[in-house]
Amino acid sequence: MNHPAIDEILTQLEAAGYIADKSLALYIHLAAKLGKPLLVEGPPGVGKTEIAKVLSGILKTELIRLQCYEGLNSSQAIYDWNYQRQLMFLRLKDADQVKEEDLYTDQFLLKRPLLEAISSDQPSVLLIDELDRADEEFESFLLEILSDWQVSIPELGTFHAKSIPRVVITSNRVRELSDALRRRCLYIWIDYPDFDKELQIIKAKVPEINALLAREIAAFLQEVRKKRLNKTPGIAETLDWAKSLAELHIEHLDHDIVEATLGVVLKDWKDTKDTKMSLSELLEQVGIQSKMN
Amino acid sequence: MSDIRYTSLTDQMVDFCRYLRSKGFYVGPGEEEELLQVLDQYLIGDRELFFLSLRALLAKTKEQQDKFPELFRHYWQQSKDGRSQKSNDKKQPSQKPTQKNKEAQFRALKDWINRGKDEKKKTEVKIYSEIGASEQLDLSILSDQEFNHLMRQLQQKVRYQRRKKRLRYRSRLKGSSIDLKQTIESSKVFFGEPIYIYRKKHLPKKHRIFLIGDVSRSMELYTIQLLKFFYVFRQLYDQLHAFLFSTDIEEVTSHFKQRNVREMLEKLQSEVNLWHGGTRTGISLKQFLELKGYSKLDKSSIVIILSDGIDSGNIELLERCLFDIRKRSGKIIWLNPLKGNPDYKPESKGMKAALPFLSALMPCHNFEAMAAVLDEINK
Repeated sequence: MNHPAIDEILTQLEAAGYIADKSLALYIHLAAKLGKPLLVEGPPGVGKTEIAKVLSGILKTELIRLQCYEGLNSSQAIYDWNYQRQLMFLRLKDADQVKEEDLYTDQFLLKRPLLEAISSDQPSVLLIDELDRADEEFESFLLEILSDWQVSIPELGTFHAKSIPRVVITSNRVRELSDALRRRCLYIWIDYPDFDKELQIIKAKVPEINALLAREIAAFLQEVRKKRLNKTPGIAETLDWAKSLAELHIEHLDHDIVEATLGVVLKDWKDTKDTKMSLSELLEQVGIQSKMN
Repeated sequence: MSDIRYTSLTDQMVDFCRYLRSKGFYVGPGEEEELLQVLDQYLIGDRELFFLSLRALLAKTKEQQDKFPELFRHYWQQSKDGRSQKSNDKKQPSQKPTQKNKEAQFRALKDWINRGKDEKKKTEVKIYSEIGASEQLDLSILSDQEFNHLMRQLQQKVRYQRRKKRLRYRSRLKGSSIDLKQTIESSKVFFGEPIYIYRKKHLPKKHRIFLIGDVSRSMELYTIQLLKFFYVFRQLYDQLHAFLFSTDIEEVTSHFKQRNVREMLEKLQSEVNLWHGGTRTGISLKQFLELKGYSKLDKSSIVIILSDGIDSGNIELLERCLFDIRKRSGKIIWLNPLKGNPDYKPESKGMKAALPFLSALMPCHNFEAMAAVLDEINK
């Protein structure tokens, strides 16, 4: 499967340390060509946010991040006025000399991520992280901005975008996003990696790790993810564990080492308790799997 | 797909989009236009790239992305073979029961409706209640007047609980909108200067309720109670989805929007085809997840399952589905009509499997029990 633009993107992603398949490179290419946001969904810890960081590195541009949460509104996402500074300005100046328009200038305008992104001279990468945590009202509001690329500030007028940012929206699927937003974006689902990909990631991110240990870690995580867990470990946990074991100069997994370091991988007490109970079985599977692959 | 074998790529793309639309994909003229915009010689020339491009542009959810490979293969295979097929696969009309089957199936329901008219015994009141003796009565034997009276009491209770929640939120320094009154109030200390801007804290999201009722054979005695229970809840909560299941599940939300209980029962009787079959809770919950669960459940959702827990289906599947539901929702409340008996112990396989995932296991046979469920919802 050869496409010059996609091959180029893949090479750049790998150089930036992000192990991706050709479908992600294709999505990035299509998003750029169509000027559409990329909507990335998947379980926590699979590298959704990392895409935006890597993309900003590749394009050598600023990464502007909007972290979403319940109750997020326009004053936190677009702009707000620096009320304290305005009041100080009033106190310092003579009341007769101050006009209303003096209070509403760029001097007192607090640009939040969305306004910052469209005011940038160079196209930036705008990361809207965990949009599913924000309310439906905010989503509708965001849709308007993503469509028109302009923001109206009553006191100052309409800000048209100086440059259209490359938008990456992530979601953990805690709440279902609206159809209107989905249609506006290119959608990609990123799942937990398979054995080969996870091994590749470990070797790329933890180069000092022993090859056998890397295989065993990847196999162990594959087995653990098959269990019904409250908090399934993602790639972040895999890499933390790999780095910890490499730091301890461990060359091979055994029962005691895994039991002692399980807290790096599993972040829920019930998951840890249940996994410890079936640890011998898991390690047997790991031994088999790492030999097979 | 139409009968014509397409030679033009544009026409074929448009027909493929039409095919996907018939399968429930959100594909409009905008998507068709984008598709033609991006397809270049490289993307068309390579099958894998072509497939991925189409999927990128046309599949907008995880479920659609999972279904897409099969639909893609099916369409392009058919197209290659030159076979004609209708792109609009019409939904198979559901097999409506014959009059004879209807009578047999709804016999229990009819008996209960008629019994409700005739039997007006009052049970002995054991516990004092603020509403009155009738809230202790089994739902199935309440008269229409008593039922409506008690329902209005519950509606008042719900309105009070909602109002209480709103009043509980006071001004804070962080919040979504400015509280002018508190801001001006606090500025008096600073000679009228509003140094601190007070804001109103964001109101909590309303609960979305999912009611899932078991109408299988083992629940035959409680069907009327269950349906009346659903009806009452429909009047109390706007954001409510109702489902009935036995061997399969069916959404019946619209059936509970009738003016009174009698009309609701008659509509259900004529349109729902699940009465008093076997019990396959696991499969039914899996279908629920696929229908609505995966897309609609969030932490403000409450799932209420009304069943005796006597299950002839796959218990492991039941556990898996309950795990998924619990992970996605705020809580699961299980209402078991058998719990109305003080000596009841949850020993059936289904109940034992369900217990670890439940926030509460409660009875549901009278208005007093319903009031307790409302309290549990608002905890």
